[in-house]
Amino acid sequence: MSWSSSQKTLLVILLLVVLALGAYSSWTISSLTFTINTMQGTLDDLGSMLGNYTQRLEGYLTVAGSTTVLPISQACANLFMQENPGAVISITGGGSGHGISAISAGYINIGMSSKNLTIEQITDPDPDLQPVNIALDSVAIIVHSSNDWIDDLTFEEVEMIFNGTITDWNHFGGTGEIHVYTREAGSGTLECFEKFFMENSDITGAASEKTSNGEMRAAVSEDTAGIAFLSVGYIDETIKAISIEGVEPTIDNLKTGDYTVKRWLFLITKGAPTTLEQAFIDFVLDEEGQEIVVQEGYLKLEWFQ
Amino acid sequence: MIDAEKEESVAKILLWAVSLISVSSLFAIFTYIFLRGSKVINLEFLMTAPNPIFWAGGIFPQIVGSLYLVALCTAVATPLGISAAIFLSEYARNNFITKTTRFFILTLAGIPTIVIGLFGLTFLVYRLDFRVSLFSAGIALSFLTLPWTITVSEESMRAVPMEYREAALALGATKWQTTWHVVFKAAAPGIITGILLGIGKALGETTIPLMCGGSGLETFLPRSLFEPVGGLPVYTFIFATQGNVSSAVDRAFGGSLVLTLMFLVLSASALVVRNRYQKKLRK
Amino acid sequence: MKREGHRSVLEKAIEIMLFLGAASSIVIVFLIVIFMMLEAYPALNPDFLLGWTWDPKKEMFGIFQTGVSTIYVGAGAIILATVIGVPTAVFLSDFCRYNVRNIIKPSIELLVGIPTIVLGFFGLMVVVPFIRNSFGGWGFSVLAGWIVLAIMSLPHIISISEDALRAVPSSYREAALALGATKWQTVKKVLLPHAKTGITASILLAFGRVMGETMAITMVIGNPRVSWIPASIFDRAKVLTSTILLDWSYVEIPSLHYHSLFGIGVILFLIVALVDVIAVYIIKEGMWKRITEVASWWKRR
Repeated sequence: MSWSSSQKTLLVILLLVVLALGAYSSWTISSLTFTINTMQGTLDDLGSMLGNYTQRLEGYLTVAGSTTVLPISQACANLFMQENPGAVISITGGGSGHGISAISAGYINIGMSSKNLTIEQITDPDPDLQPVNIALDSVAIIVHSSNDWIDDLTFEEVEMIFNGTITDWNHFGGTGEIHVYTREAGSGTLECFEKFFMENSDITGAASEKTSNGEMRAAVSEDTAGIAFLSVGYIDETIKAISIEGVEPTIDNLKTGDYTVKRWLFLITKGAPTTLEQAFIDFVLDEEGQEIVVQEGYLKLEWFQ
Repeated sequence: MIDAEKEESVAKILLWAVSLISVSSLFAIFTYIFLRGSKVINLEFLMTAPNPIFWAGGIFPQIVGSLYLVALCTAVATPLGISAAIFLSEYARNNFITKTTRFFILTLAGIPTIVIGLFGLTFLVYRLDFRVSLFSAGIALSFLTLPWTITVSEESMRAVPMEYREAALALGATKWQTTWHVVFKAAAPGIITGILLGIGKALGETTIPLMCGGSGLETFLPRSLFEPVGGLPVYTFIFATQGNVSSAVDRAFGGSLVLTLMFLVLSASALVVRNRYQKKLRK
Repeated sequence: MKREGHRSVLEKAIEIMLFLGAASSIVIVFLIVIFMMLEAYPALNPDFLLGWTWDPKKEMFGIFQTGVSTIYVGAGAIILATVIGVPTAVFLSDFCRYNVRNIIKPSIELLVGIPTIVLGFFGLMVVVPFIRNSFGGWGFSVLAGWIVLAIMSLPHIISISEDALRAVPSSYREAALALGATKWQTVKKVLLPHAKTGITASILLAFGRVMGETMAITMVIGNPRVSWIPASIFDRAKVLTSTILLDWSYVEIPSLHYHSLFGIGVILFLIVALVDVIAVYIIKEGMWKRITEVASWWKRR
């Protein structure tokens, strides 16, 4: 089948038209979804006015970010969904960096973070991020459950292990190389760890990088030579938590402040929260939610107010 | 003379040994997964939602989620791919433009899936604001399957002998009638094989659903195209890397087993179709 | 006459629809490639390509060491897969009984394209502890990566190589046997040379797939925070795809980090495209002949 030159031109024009249509339609679709989302917001507000009489909340929430806040959100979401059958909440991890980046970009509803937002991030009107404190947390150092070479470390010793100065367990009477684990660069747990434990140096480049609290715990529970740090909410029988300068990372020590490592946990919305988002945040801040905070091993707000 | 026979025996032994290693390693994997995964497989596991807090529960939303993802991906990639294949094979002249096009399509097939996931994330999820959803992940998966569908379909159609077309045209059929009733029907098994293999590829994808589709631990089924969805590969990944208790590891094996079985069913169907096709051709 | 006219309108309409389908597919292909290049462009500079260190905390995005590691891991895996896979293909095509082959060959073909998460999980649960218990160290290592990636490539290489060997006309075999050659001599001197283009192409294509693999490799290779060139096969490493997997979740859009991730994507794409092109050209026997000509000319110098 051969084409005359006029048919060829037609072909080229058609191709350009397709390209233009493609570009136009993608622009239209994105502005359409934006319109739909805005309309959704308005409908939500209308619904809330009616909802005040019926107390029924419906809709879909995507929550993502810090794996530290993750267990709290998951447990709260379960209860929330039981009490509000029309609501469905999807919770993902990814780290505080992911939570902040995704909520700034706007493709999730609520970001979870254990990392403090910078002044610019709070005041910048473009993403208009609005963080809400929901709990407090701490960071503990963990080793394999059978590791009886160390029970207690000083801050300096932790720093020397993690920056690669101390490389061998025989420094503590054991054998073998120390396997250091760390978190991805955007992690809030990493930020807290570095703030309190790594005063003058960086974590060694030889540390194996993991991307969640869960992975840190799993890695150390299988590696007899491993050492890592994670949120105290993740401490369980599969690993051993180390006391720092005589103080164990227990809830009581955190309440009294003997264990000095401490940080806030946040839920972040982009702009003012919608009805459903606000309802979820309120749930976490209420009695039920704060009980869950304690159950999961974190510190509830009222202990510090 | 003796040397040649010695060489032959040595070669035979080596070949046997190496083949034993390769074949047994491949089957050992499947057997291992089967043994460790079947422990946890029961009706409850297959029909309930996961309980990520306690590393418990089942994989029902993940199974359905995987099927949804694959269905959307195929629904998009197949019509586009087949029309492109028909056009390239039957209607377009074999000139520089079509050759470059085929080349570009082949290179797209080589893009690492995580790069397509990154593209899907920044373009579909973020720029076009389709958010983390079944839609974003499904479309991104179709980018993965599309070049494959086009290539395989086009090859199947070009393999149909010219005589078929000439005979049909000589009998007075139009171009489209020829294409549809003669060429397409003859190439159909090849095309179907390609589609099935593409489905298999999409089924086993982890990075794209991870970045564009959802957490993998969804406890609900998506009620619309624009809600997050969880699939078996991402479920397995999370339970495998973050689970520190045996119930988590068991479930990861369970998820792997179900995923592998689904994949094997697809793979086997593709093989059956292809073998029947080859038998037909040989006649 | 009227009927014919109606039909030809329908024909044209179908043709246009097909063209639109084809055009959309092509538009999509171009869209992805161009988008990728645009997003990667700000990062593509010598600092990126030849930079020694990838450390996001220090805003350093050099991929040289990571790139070398990737090739090291990929090449080793493919060599392992070839050394095991091609002899298996030879065995299946010429040294194996018909009924045995009819069971084994389809079973292997079933495993082509097995979900890589399953292989990665297997590597995590079996290969890594095995290496750790036998050789000490982390267990997560280049060797673990080689094994897992080789297993991933085996079905592909075996299947296509076996097809290539069987595609050699049986007259060649009969002629060789008639001249008194043993089976192995036939394979070595007649079949393998004839099938080498198909076998080489399969190896190259498998290499391309291995370079782009993310899940399986990230689960077993170790991922040190600051990537390096591994010192031994028991050393951990980080490859280019793992870098994207570990970093994508927290990059700010836009930022140099974000552009560098797309830069990695472009590099991976170019490597795989290059390997595919070479594979396709080798299949056209003319190129292979020319390569051997160049090689012998080089030897003669």
